[in-house]
Amino acid sequence: MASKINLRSILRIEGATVFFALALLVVFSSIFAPSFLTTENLSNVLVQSVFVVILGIGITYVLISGGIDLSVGSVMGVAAAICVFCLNAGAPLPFALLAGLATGAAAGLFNAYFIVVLGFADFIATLGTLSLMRGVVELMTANSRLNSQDPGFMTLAAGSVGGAPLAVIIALIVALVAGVILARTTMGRAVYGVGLNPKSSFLAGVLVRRVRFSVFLVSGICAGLAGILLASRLSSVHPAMGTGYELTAIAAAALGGASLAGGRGSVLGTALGALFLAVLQNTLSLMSVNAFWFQIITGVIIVFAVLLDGGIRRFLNQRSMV
Amino acid sequence: MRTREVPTPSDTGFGATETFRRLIGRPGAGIFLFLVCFLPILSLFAPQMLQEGNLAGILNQMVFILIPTLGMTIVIISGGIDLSVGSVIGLSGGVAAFLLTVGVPMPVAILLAIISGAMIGAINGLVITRLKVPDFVATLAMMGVARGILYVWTNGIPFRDYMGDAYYIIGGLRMIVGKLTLPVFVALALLLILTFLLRRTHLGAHFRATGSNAEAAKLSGIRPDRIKMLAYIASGALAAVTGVMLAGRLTTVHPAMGSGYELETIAAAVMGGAALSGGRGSFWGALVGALTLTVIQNAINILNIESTWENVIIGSIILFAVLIDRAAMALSRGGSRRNASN
Amino acid sequence: MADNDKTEGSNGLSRRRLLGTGVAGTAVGATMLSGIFNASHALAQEAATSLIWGDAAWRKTVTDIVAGRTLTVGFTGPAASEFYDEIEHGAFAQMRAYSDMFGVKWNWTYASPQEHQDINDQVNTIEAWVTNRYDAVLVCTAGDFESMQNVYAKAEAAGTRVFQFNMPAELWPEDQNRAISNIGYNNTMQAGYLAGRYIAEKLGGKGKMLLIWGLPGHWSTARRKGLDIALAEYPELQIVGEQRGDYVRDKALNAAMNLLQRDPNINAIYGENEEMALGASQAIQALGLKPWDGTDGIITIGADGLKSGYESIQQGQMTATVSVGAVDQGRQSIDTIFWNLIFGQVPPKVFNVRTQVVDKSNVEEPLAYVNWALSVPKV
Repeated sequence: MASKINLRSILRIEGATVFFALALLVVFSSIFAPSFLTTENLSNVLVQSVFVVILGIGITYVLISGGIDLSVGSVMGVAAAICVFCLNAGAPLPFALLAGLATGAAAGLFNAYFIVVLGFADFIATLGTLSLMRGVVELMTANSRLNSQDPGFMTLAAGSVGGAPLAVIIALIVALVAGVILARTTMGRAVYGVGLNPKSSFLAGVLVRRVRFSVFLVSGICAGLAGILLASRLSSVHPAMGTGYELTAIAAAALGGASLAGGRGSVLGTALGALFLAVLQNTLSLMSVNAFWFQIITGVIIVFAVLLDGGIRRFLNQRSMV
Repeated sequence: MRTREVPTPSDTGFGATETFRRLIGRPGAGIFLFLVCFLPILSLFAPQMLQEGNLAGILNQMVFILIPTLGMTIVIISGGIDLSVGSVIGLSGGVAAFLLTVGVPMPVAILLAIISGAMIGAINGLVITRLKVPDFVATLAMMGVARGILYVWTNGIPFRDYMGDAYYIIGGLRMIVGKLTLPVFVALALLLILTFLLRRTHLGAHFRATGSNAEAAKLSGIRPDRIKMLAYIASGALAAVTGVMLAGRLTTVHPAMGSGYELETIAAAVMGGAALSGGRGSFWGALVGALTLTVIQNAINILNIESTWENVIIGSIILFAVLIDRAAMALSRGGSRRNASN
Repeated sequence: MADNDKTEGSNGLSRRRLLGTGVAGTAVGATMLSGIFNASHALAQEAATSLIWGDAAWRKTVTDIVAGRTLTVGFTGPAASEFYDEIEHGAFAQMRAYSDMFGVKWNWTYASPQEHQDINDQVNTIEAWVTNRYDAVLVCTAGDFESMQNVYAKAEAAGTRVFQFNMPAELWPEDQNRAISNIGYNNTMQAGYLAGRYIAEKLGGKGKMLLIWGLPGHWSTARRKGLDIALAEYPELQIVGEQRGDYVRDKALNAAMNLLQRDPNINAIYGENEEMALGASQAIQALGLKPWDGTDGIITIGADGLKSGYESIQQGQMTATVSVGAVDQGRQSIDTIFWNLIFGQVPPKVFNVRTQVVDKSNVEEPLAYVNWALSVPKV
């Protein structure tokens, strides 16, 4: 039977709303922002969005499972610090990168221990680790400057492969892998299950604790990768690196349809949400909008986008057969 | 009839063990115990900590976290969260300062500032209840919008030259009773009024009901939307009270004033036992949470701990304090652990 | 009665008439003299102006070369504050002056990150400006020189010239800096060191002092270095407490109060920037302690050179501050940009403006200077 392609079916695709919002924004920017549609600018924006894309993907896993992770900004900093530290100590690049990712993973496990084993509430546990990790970054950057001009390291954020920026390709790979896992594997479905109804998931044989451990692990690794890429872009690790990024990542996920109550969200939606935020910033900069208005405009647009998403959801649920 | 006497923890027992178990299970009790043990240990290293002047100083400083935490507790109990608190503190402080510079009499300026905070809370409430935008996103957006408004209004340069003698007192820069400042008494009054309101009227029960199960609450005749609106208005108004006093304390309203207070407030509320899933929390818990955060900062300063260690210590203590709180809760349930609902 | 009426003399000259003529004559003479004086003063001023900097013929040459060109400049600082506003106003003054003198037009954009001191945000902004092919960007960030080199390279390649301001350039080797010029001041010797010396001199070389630091970063590092150099010569002047204030007033206020609570017998507090030093001075007042009055009390000294700081000094709340030449940095930046962009003149890699310790004894001139700059309208 041929599937009907109508408005409903299109809107049902995860991330459809934010895609339309993004398309609208791009049209607007092409008209009103000088030089928006140049290769140079589009390449810039894509690279600028990479950090929140990757961070957001990790946080999406946590959000879908019904949790929250506020520490990702600080974890970015710690992972980057360890990576650059290893580089400066003479370690080969692959080792340093691995060390950074492992740090992210360790941070994720640390969070998971407090939340899953000790029973802390996500919010307060990751709030505590937010401060703790930030402190670790400050300690590490206190007496030695963590800079690296290692050419291999710098290509991560600055290099390109066949014309496309390497950072963007990395983000695409992450998005692909994470998206496939979430949408197509049992593990991915388990994450949704735990978010929607932990009790019935448990009864259905899902190892809820393992799932919850895993999502924080994913979040930590993604934060580690994002941190390494940011350090590559700035050739250095600054003590305040990553501050505030957790809220941007959550906003991106919310734009993409994730809910803090759990059970909803998608990698594609979050990635598009992160791209949307980066394009918005870029447009405002190109249009030389007064810097102080950025936050106001961003806040209002986020609310509108989420409203749109909610409205479309209700429209889809109105007369659909369950 | 045989009655077996099995000592079980129960809410109706009155024996020593039962009372202890019940008290310890209360929100924030574990943290309070932690504080009570922690302070004397600290004072071994720095006897000045227990000096009258320092204790008064802790109370004077704690107020600026406590008051917004009272509002945040109400919001969290009713099942929401308010990330815009810091920006409301800044903006309402700006309103008060600006009105004073154009000659508006002080009581009117303060009133209008508090109303502005309440209005922002109302907008939050409307967006959340009527437009069905999730709390986190709505208040996150408001955080940016309110902050942006303050930046645009101040044009990046702090408001100044609005201080009069009265404002020095209101801001807590002058001691009025012993070594205590006016904000402490404002906080005390608010604490008592709010506790009274929530215990004696139905409001407390309504907040809790809305937070635990909004659907069930509706069926019992409570209007969850109205209750939530009220919670956000309260949060906005209390943040505004803080903003007004803070503007006095700092004598200038910097466009970034209040930035970062939202996470501290939430930490204080949660440390005080408020559960983000809703339905649980208390003002005395809020007091304990705010006190703990202030004592930590005070200890760091007084012990002259190297600044690079500051965040590590704060993070560790938050985790440690919540650990103690959970242990206390576990103790009160006779040893069985229960995962925190989230 | 009668004698006074007898004013008529034999030759018609009366005493009154004499008096009247005398007064009139003096008046006319005075007016003429002052007119001559004014005219010659004006002539002298005109001569002085043309002696300070070129004559009309030179100005015309420059104007012809400028040919009414518009220069697009992007200005980005790490945060919005009174300090960066003063720098901007210095720039406004210079831009207007050059417009008047040489007919150059300016297209000026301001940006600062939403999250305090977020470096990546500034990098993104600069990328957008480079995309728009701005003529020049004027940058001050919390990041090291290294952090910015990638985006500076991009700017260079696209033709946007990069200038930095208010960065402690002495911390990095000059050849690592891709910016064409760094207009600022030596944080070590022209700020931290001066503050340390001031405290030491006022206290006679001994006493106890507190430090309130900003966010961890290069400004703190550089100023700390300078302070240490100054204090090394005074072993009896000891730092008995140092805490973070993160450049914001409430944290600094609390930190100062707590430290003073611990030990009120402090002689001096150094706040790394004026916001924090002002917070410390408020803490002193709130605790009922005595601010410095010339011989006794607690010295509070900051660094920035803000109008609000100067007014506080006049009122005796804050003792002193190090003016780091904010207005001059703005002026000099525009000067550098103008002569480099239109005439290709090569500025020094590091241009340090004059700084000065300002206290009650010499606050009039810096305050008048800042008031002038702040009165210049936006460009």
